[in-house]
Amino acid sequence: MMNPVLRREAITTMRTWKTYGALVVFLAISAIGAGFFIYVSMFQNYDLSFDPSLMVYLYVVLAAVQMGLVLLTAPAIAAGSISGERERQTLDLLLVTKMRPISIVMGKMLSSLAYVLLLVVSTMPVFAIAFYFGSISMLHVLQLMAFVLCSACMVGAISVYFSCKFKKTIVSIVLMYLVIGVLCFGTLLLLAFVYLSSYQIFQGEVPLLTTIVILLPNPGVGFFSMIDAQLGSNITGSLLAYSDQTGPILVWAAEHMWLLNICFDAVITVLFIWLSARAIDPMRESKVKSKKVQKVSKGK
Amino acid sequence: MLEIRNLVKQYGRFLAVDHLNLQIPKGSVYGFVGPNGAGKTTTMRIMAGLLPATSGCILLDNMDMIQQPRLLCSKIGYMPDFFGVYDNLKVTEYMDFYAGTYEIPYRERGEIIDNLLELVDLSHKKNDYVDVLSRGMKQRLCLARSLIHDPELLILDEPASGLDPRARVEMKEILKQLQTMGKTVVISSHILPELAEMCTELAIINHGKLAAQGTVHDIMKQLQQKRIIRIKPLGAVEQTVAVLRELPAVGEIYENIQDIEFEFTDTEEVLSDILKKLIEAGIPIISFGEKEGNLEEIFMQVTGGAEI
Repeated sequence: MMNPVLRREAITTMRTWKTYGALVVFLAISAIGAGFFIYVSMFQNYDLSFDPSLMVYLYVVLAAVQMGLVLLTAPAIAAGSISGERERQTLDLLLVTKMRPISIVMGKMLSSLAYVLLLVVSTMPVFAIAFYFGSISMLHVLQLMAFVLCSACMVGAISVYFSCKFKKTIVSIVLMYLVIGVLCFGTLLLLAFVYLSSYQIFQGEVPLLTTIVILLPNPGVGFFSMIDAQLGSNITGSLLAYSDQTGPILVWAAEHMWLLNICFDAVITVLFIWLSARAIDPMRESKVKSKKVQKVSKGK
Repeated sequence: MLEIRNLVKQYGRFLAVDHLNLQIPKGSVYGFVGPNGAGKTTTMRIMAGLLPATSGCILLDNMDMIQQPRLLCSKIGYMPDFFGVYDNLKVTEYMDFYAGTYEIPYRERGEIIDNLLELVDLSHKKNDYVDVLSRGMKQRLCLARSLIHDPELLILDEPASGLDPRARVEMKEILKQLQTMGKTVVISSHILPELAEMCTELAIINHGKLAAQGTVHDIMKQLQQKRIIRIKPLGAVEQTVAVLRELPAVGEIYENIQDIEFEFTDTEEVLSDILKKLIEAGIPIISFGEKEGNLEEIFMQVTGGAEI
């Protein structure tokens, strides 16, 4: 049986003009980005020549626009999921039913992701422009979609957790954007700080492991690493500048930051879904109590 | 049978429910009465599995509702004092959604929804959007929602609040039907005379404690120390008062425009003697009887005049 929350969300979401409005805006930004790139690359040089190999950068621009839009859209959708139920006074009505808190949270998460998936899939025709010039493969696009959806899952799960914890949707949204800011820019600032003070901390060069650990949660770095791997430019490897003495596992990790980032997203998603389910479970306290009572009675 | 044993709910130093003990017979319509903050809603939320109790237990058919809320959620229907509805959802879709949350198979839902909408007189609105229904209709729809899984016990937190008189009468009729269907209904309300009409038993709660429990008649009997006897003579009011003043069992006498009331604390035999004396004095009596107690007066007396 389909998750009832997901089913209801699908019905109500597709009945409001806001859904289609957001889709139009999303597609318009992607299409304008693509159009602008083509205009600049084809008509702004002196001899009006056109290099089809440059079209690979259209894919990069579109992928970056898509990633940025998803990171902005997912919190806006997911951060109101549980607090919206609370504002409508329908959360209690859900909690007294047979549905477990984890099913309610999963229903909310999946409905948010379904919309993000719709946004991502709807941009496929724009990506098709890059296909026309043969600069990328279908596998690259599917890889990109998987990465974007994993990032959306992570952002969505944290947003749903904030939504469980805070009564006002706006508080959850603002906090989530702060978290995204910390993940994208805070980690870079932290890395810069570590590099600047490397002499005091590490008495010399910053270990590669430290760099990887700091950059691991950064969705931007993961995205850049994936595009880098797809284009075969190996910019990530040069930036991380590992020496010959570096172990093969660390080298592999540095070259596959996007895979590590996907793993990080998966762990965070599972953790925050579990925390969200705990946060809305009204009987959590009494469950803990009954477990304690059972332990005491077993001890006797 | 539903039994509440030594139920305690504490918020910091504030005791919202203070060692509450209640027994609610199966098939009864049980009223919870109390001023604001008395602990009615807290008790109901604990019963519905929405709030953990600090201590104590609630037994439904000898199963602890606090320890096994998941097992019992299919036996309980809960309607809070607000009606949470979703925008952009039609009445049947709203009911279908809650049928899904109780894992009712798709093929059975149509008939159940039609029957429930008929029960709450909303069949003609089944294709309307929920958010455009009137307050009374939304309240009735919420009642239908709480019945979607055919629960044994219905917990209704102030179902008549904010409704106009007509909608209240309609709600009352539905509750009567539920009683005939054999459901155990626990209901709280501020409209005390209405609650007295609907309920087979009542509990008056104040400061989280049980102040009185039983049928309306029993509670009145327990709490009314003085009985008020009302006599309606055909004219001859002054003569009646004069005769009553001579009788030692008669307490304070109140002369109204059309009748006379007096306080009385003695036995039924003495009361019949009073009637005999009045007739012997040649006073034409139209009616002679005990004045029905006013539930709200009793409520104010029990709760020490707390805000209703």
